[in-house]
Amino acid sequence: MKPKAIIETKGLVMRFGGVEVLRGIDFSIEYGELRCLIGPNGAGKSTFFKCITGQLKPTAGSIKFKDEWVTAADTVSIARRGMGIKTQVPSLYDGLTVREHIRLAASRHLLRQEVPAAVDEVLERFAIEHLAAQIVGRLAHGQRQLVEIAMVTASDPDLILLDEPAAGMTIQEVERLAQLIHELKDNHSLIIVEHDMQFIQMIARVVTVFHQGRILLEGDVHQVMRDDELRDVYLGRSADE
Amino acid sequence: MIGRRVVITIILVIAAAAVILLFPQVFELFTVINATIYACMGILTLSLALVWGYCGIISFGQTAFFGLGGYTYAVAVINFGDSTPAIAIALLVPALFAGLLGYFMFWGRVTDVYLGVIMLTVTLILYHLFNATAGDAYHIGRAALGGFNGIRGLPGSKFAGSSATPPFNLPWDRDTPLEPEQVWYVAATLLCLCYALVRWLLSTKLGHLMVAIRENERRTELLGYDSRRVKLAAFTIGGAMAGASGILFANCVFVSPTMFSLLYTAQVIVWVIVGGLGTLVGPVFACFLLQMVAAELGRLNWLNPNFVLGLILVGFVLLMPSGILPTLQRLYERFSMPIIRTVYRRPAQ
Repeated sequence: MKPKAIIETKGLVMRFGGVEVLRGIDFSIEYGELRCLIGPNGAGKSTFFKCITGQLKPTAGSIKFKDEWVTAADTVSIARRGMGIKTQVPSLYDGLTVREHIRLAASRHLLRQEVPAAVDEVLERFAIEHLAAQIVGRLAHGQRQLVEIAMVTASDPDLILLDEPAAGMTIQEVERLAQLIHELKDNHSLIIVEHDMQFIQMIARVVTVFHQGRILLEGDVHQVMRDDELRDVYLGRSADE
Repeated sequence: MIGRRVVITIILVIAAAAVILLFPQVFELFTVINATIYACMGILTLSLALVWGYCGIISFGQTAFFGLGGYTYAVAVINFGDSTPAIAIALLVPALFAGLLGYFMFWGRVTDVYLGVIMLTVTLILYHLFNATAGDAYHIGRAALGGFNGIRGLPGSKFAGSSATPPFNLPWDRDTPLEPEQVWYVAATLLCLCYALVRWLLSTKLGHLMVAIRENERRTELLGYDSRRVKLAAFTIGGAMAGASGILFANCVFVSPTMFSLLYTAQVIVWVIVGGLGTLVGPVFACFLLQMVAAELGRLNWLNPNFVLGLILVGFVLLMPSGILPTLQRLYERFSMPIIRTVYRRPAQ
């Protein structure tokens, strides 16, 4: 029997005025799966994330999350159903400390007495205990990325969306992140938008290629990487040529 | 073992109690009444410091709830003849009004400066509405609203013809009104209690969420928190506090449409900015300080206190934009830390 999809979109269209950013996306991933989305800038990946998290209402099409239709649902109810997102530009509370970030995320679903232990566990897992008392606004970009991922993880979502999580990180941080993502895969489903091909090869088996608001390719990461069409897309030639 | 924080809190409570109790013994009645007015305006300032400074809601019309609190108290106390139920009703009405207004604004996704403009407009509407209530036709029960002159004492009563609203009496004892010194005890204690309440509130999950929304509302929603509910709670609590301030104001000044005026609205905003947005002690300190400055300047016939208040605001925005308290905190950290480090290192040498 085919495993159930945790998220599924059918014919998702997003139009801004006369510009069609998503042109009928049919996409799904299964429970426990990790999928990477790749594609050049402007392919529609971040817009796709915004649609499935309820930040944008799609012009047409439908979204099903954990067997419920959430096409018209708002951000809060989708998040409460179990979807967490790390946005492309880190979306944090610049005036709060790292510990306060994790505590805020954990306290939504945990009892008050359970929160401190959960916060410590997340800080330890992400090796950011030494940053716990730091104000997030003063952290380096790579550290901010890590704090946002830690915060999203602390809210314990079933599906985690990571939009360019490795951007601005050092090689050591990227390696650590890859290891963390492998650990997260045991308990969560993940969709990751990334440009760093080496990083993608470290974490994913299956990738989906977005191009001009459509899904161009989908399949094994190594096969897709060798595909001429993908090379053309990244080098700027049209896939139709 | 008792923590350092607890010891400091106990010392502060004892010091505050001593100041409150000794103040009427040391100063003359005129000063006590002035201090009572400052204390009630301090509560109004605290309400804006909470709503704007901690939750990021630009409520440029906090005096709407202040005025409603005053009017409701005056109307209720004249009709019931007892301040006990009047206080309860006068707390409830501004809180409900804030809740209703907040519901439409937050669920309608009105934010930032648009919310500020709506609040300012609501205040001005109320100002003009109550200004237009002169004449016998405008009364609620036995209380005539009085238009521009405000609510006057009931004919035949001790306060007949005067602008004084019947003061507080002992709970359920309408024959024992409080003296001005006793009203000072109530106002100063209430200011301290409101401060403690807001401090406690900010230490709870609701308080953390208020700050989170001020910092990044979108992120808070992406974590699954409904920011509208949190803002509504903050706005309603702020409305009730402003209402409480209005009740006290009715006791020590009088109730008139001036309570909704632009002057009061602007003053509260200035106190919060000068004291330091995002702090509690700073705005209350600025409220007391600037009112004392205005009172002193008011004695000079050649200088308009409001002109000076405007100059102070412009000066602070240009030279000390974060306000008094955050600037003092930064200076303290900058100059005290090297001394502390030096002292700390010395024994090791």
